[in-house]
Amino acid sequence: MQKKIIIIKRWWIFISIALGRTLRADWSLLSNALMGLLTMTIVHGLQLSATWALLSQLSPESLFPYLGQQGALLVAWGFIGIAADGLRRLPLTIENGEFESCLGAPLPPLLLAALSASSVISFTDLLLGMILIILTAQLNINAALIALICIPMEFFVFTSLFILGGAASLRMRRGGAVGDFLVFTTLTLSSFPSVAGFQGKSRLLLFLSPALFTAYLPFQSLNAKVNLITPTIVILIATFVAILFMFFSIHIFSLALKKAEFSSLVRMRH
Amino acid sequence: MGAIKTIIVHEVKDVFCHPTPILMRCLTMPIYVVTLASIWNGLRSKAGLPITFPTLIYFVLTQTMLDSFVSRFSLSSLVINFEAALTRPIPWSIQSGAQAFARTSAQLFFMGILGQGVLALCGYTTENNFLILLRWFTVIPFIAFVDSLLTLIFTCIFLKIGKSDGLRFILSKSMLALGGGLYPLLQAGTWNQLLLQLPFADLIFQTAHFCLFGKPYGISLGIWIFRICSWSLVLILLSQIIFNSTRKNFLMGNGG
Repeated sequence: MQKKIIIIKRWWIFISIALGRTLRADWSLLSNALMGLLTMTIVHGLQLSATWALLSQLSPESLFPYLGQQGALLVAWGFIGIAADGLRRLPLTIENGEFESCLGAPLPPLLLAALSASSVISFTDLLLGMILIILTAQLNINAALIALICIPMEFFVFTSLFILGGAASLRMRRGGAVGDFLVFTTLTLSSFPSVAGFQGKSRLLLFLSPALFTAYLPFQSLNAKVNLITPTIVILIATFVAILFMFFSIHIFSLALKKAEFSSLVRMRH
Repeated sequence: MGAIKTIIVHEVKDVFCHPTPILMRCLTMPIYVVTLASIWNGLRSKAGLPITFPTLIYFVLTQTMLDSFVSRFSLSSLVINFEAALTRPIPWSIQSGAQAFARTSAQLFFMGILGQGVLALCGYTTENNFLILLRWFTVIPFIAFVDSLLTLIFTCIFLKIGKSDGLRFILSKSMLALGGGLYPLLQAGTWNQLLLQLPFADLIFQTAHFCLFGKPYGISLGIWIFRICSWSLVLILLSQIIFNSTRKNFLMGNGG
């Protein structure tokens, strides 16, 4: 038991140091960071205002569930960017050989790779997400609470997708494209008001993709006109499933890692 | 003139001989197109409004344009060749403009045929599919010309401040959100009326509308062409100002 506590303590120290250093490194290029923050604010503002205009004309009742869902999505996406931006770059680091440096340390390589980068620009996502959740709270306090509960679920789903992308990179050439495609599809379906708009067969796209967790469930829970308990239970169960999905993707990654051939080995052979 | 012809032929050949970036984009584009078309159709039918607008073709056209505007490949090619281009006896803006124009035209031509081909294979055909394609080929020079001017401006910005990704991202999102890339600007309302006055709508929404129906939305063909020419003139002036300012501070061989 004591040994486990020591290990957890070491991990915690490692995570806090890694996070501090990578964020400081990103922040040291101040002009780049400020430009990035400004760019992302404008970009998010543009997309949200256009979608707001569309929904207020055609489906005003979908506005506040959409706001809350976007808030949860942006906060989850921002957390990944700040704490584990290395995951977003995982396929690239595998393809260019940087990942090999993570194999020599007495820590899980995936954790090392995830913590190897942080993005200061992701603070914009976090801040904007929080603003959207606060706006939702002004309209409906229960919906804002559900949006907050949705954040971990979305975080685990996106993390799993990045890890699966990494596993694909380990097993096949340009496998990162598979991961990119998965993330792109999920993000596209989640960042537009697809749950409000999709009808008939097109809804299948939401059910059969990870957007079920990042778009459909958050939107429907926020839109639920019942008490707070039912949607909360649904989201908690979905979060549990998302955690299982993450462990599954970690397992797949570990299996792929065992059979992977790295460039140094290939170089040695030829 | 011979040199310009060589540049154009080389760029067109390059697009057709190395189609991987375009084909890779064709993997993700259907997701975007289907999502946006389903949202627009679904919201309209929920609101009890009729769906008479060919949304699927509209989004194929707009996404093709958005994908080709100020492409990373054109930009990096112009940045790398900037120094060498200055030493040639042809003005930089003409040779680089020709290069960007040829690349975008070829890309729009290729993607236009590919998009319509995929739609036809999926069984999504209308009676005037051929006419849409013909109109698309007609507008390609105009769009490619505006794009080449934008590419020149962004190249100069990159050479001046060492970065242009952020501004490029803002431009592409403005085209998407304000130009009719997210939804057709057909719905009456002050927001849409405002958007229709902006250059983004003239370039994206009105171009797609022209391809679909043979006329721009809410204005005459003459006024639309006049507006495109006016925006082009503004961009020509802007590109010259930024180029002169970049050339003044540019150090050949990094000043070494």
